[in-house]
Amino acid sequence: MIRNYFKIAWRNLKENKFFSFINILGLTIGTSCFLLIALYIFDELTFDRFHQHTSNIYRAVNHKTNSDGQLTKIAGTGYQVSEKAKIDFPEIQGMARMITLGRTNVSTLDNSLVFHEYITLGNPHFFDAFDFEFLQGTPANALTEPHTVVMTEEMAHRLFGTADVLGKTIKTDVDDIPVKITGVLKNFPGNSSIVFNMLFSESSMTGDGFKNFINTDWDSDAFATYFLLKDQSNPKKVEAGITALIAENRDTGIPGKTELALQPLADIHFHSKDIEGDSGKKGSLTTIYVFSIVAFFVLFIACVNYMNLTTARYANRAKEIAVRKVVGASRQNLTRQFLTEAFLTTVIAIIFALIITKITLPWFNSFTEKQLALGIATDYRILLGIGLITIVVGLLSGLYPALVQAALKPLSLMKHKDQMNKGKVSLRRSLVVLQFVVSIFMIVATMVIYLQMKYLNNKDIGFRKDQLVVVDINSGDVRNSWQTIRNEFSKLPQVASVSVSSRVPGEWKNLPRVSVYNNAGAPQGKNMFFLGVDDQFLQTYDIKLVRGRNFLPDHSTDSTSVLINESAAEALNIVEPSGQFIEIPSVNFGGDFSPLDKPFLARVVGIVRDFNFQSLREPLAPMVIGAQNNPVHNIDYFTVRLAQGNTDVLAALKKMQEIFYEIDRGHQLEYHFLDEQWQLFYRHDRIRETIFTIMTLLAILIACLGLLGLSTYAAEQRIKEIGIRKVLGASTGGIVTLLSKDFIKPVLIAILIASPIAWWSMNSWLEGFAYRIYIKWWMFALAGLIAVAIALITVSGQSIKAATANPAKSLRTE
Amino acid sequence: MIKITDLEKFYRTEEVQTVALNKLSFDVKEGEFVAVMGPSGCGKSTLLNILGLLDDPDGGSFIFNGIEVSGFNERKRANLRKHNIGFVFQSFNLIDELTVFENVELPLIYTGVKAADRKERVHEVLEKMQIMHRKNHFPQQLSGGQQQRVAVARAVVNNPKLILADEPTGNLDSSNGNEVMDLLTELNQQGTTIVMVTHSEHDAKFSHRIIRMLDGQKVTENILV
Repeated sequence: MIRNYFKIAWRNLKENKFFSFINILGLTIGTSCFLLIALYIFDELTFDRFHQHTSNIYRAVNHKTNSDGQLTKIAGTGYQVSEKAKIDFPEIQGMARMITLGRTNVSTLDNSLVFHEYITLGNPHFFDAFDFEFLQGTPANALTEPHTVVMTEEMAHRLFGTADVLGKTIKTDVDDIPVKITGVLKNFPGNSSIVFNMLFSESSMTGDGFKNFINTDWDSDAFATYFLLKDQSNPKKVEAGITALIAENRDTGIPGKTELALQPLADIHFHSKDIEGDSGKKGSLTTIYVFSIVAFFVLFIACVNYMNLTTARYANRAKEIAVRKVVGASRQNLTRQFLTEAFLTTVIAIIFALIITKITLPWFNSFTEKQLALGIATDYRILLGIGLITIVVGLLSGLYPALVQAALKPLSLMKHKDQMNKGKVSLRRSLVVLQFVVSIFMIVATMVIYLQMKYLNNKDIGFRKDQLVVVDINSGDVRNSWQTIRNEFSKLPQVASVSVSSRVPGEWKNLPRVSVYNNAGAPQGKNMFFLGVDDQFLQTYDIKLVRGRNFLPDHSTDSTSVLINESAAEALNIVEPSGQFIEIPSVNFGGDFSPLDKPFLARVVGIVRDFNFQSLREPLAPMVIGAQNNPVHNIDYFTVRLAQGNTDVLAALKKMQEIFYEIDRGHQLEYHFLDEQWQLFYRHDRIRETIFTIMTLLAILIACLGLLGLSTYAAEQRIKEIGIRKVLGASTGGIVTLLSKDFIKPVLIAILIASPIAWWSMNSWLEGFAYRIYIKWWMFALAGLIAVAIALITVSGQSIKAATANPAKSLRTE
Repeated sequence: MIKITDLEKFYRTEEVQTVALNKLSFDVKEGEFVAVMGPSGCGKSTLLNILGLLDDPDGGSFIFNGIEVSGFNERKRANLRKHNIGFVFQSFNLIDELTVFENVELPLIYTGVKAADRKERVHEVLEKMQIMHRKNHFPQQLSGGQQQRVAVARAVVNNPKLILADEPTGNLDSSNGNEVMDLLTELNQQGTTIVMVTHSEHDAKFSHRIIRMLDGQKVTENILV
């Protein structure tokens, strides 16, 4: 019986090449999109789950409440917390602790290759908790000795050109002692929130400063700490125990309180938005939801095509269905037969989709920044998923046509096939409406995302971000010689101006906040950003001074002067800067406000125009701009404005490196272009925009394939009517209109349904931006117009063909 | 074998109700060959559909092989049909996508006959219908007469007790038509009951008895044998 089902299914596919092609193409595109997005979502949802004990691993998160009752969550805790907890709590089976101290030059012993790398330390039993795969070395004793390091194979390749580096030595700028490589890790999976290039043993840090710090460290948030709990342990109990432990030992001089929370490792990726000090990749559940919906939309459109084309065409198979019934086929027999056909089509489409997915994955990976793979080695759950999706698509596409066709009475099929066919037109039309609702929704969404991105790109952010090169200051020597370097940089022909600052726009990490008191006595401290800059900052960034004056070139006299931006001026109620005093008693570098050695009493000498330092999702914030030698925040960056015109950037960078070498032989020039860094704010929005655009195009394409199929069929079916109309004098134009009208109506209805849904959802998305566009009526009109135009183009070909056919011929076929 | 009493069937549209069968009664004995005649629209086809369990009567009784079947649901009717009744249509109604062999095999598939047995039975019937040499051809590749022979083969492959023929020669020339009538006669002689609807007096003469209908009622009955 099954063989018979397959035989007839295969012959039907071959017989109706055009319709089979449309069905298979639609389903192939639909399932390819679905597969790509499913792989993406699967990767996101399995973040950090590759460790054997993922469900028992928890990250320590300090919950600090300051004296004002304000809670700050920080991904880290003090050294002693983990040291003591490990001994005190039998529930703790393993503990991994790491701290990143900053960057240093790392090189091979012969200095042939030098890299500026983070110095991250790990405790001796770091690898007890995690299952990072070792290519060389043994996890248990890799970090037990001083001056040892574990590195990733990628780092090994960079340094030595091979991963076979066990026992080799490298050197760092930290001290003169060579560091032995005791382990080589396989590169981290793309979905690991814990990543490092090198992990040095904690005992490598032999200086007294570090030792003294860790010996008494109960209060810092410096150490990223992970606990592996034994099975069946209650994390809440451990949390409470460690919190009590901290309370016993912490410095009572610090106001507020600290509680320790254990965050499951698997939660880190999606649930760390409000946790500071977490530099790992963050996921967005909203993106996951949106992508899931889009993937199902596209798949659904493809399934609807199959349903529509199959049910539309069943009149052609009426005789076959009737005969089968007459000779004894039961309803189930027929249902199974039609389902077999749907499944055959689906399986063919899935095979093509797998091939397409495989081919497009490298490209998809490059713009989503993932390492997705599809092959025999792929996670069994993905393979199961592909099996499942085959069944779902087969059923979704085939079940309705199968049930409809199998339920038909043989008599009606033989005698009144035309009438029978007309009864189902309204349902088919509803499905077409639904397809276009989805398509139009996606057109509007794509349009809004595109316009919003364009708006963000072109918005006046208060400074000019093009032609700016940001150079990091990574050593004391460079910092101390900043004036010399600035002067030398300025002399380069490619350079228009140079400035130094504590932070630069786009480099959002740890932009400190300060509390600001007006007239040294206002009751409420104002929470403002703080930036330290030199006198060249405003010119280099092209920030407008609104009132007052800039810093003087001679910095010695200006160390207590500050500029404020317009928002701060408003908050502090300063209209005309005239040396008003403001007091800055405390600063917050992420975490808690801590008092300065002595309150910074500053004079306001100028007001600058508001400029955006952060992503335009954030509103403008009040900011105090101190001089470069302010007591709050040291300078950390040079910003170089390149001269307009034909500038040889590479030559300029080379010269800058030479200037650095003169000051500090080991200082690598580390730079980025500010506008590129700025784009990173919107990286995920761009990924979303690209995926949306592609999905929209494909959704429309699939929907159009469906329309093409239906219009071809309609033209075939109405061939006699068209013939008669022509004989009676209808014009070609009249007939094209007649045939096209049927297909335009559902698109118009779809516009009405899709518009409010699209408005609501895109408006919600825009609400996440402080600077946003507003959705206008014309966007819906344009989306509708696009949909109508595409639908018309799709169906008109068939209509024109039918309308221009010779009526004598078409009437003869009856 | 068949006993119908006061059989009624109506067709309704929104405004009009048409009577297709009006208290029709007759019976057909096992082994009989009955021809039903009458002008277009007199209810012949409706009658054949009810006899073939393709349609349900609106009133009256229909006893098939001693069982009252008028209230049967679709599943029961389908089951009874596939084991007992073969159909031959004017327009042959072969499935274009299946070969001659597969068309004839179809009823056996639906009655669950094993593949090896099916092959044997189909070959046997095709031999009998002298169409064996075309078994791998598709219907479009055959002449009308050959197609109808395939249709007859398909109708008899399950050894049905009853064959219902709806103008079996209507689409055939006279020589092919005669061939088909000879086939039906032969089947009848081997014990199969046949009810045939026809317009053709010539064909009707092959039967034992002619029932003439008008407006859904029986008007005369001629016994020929």
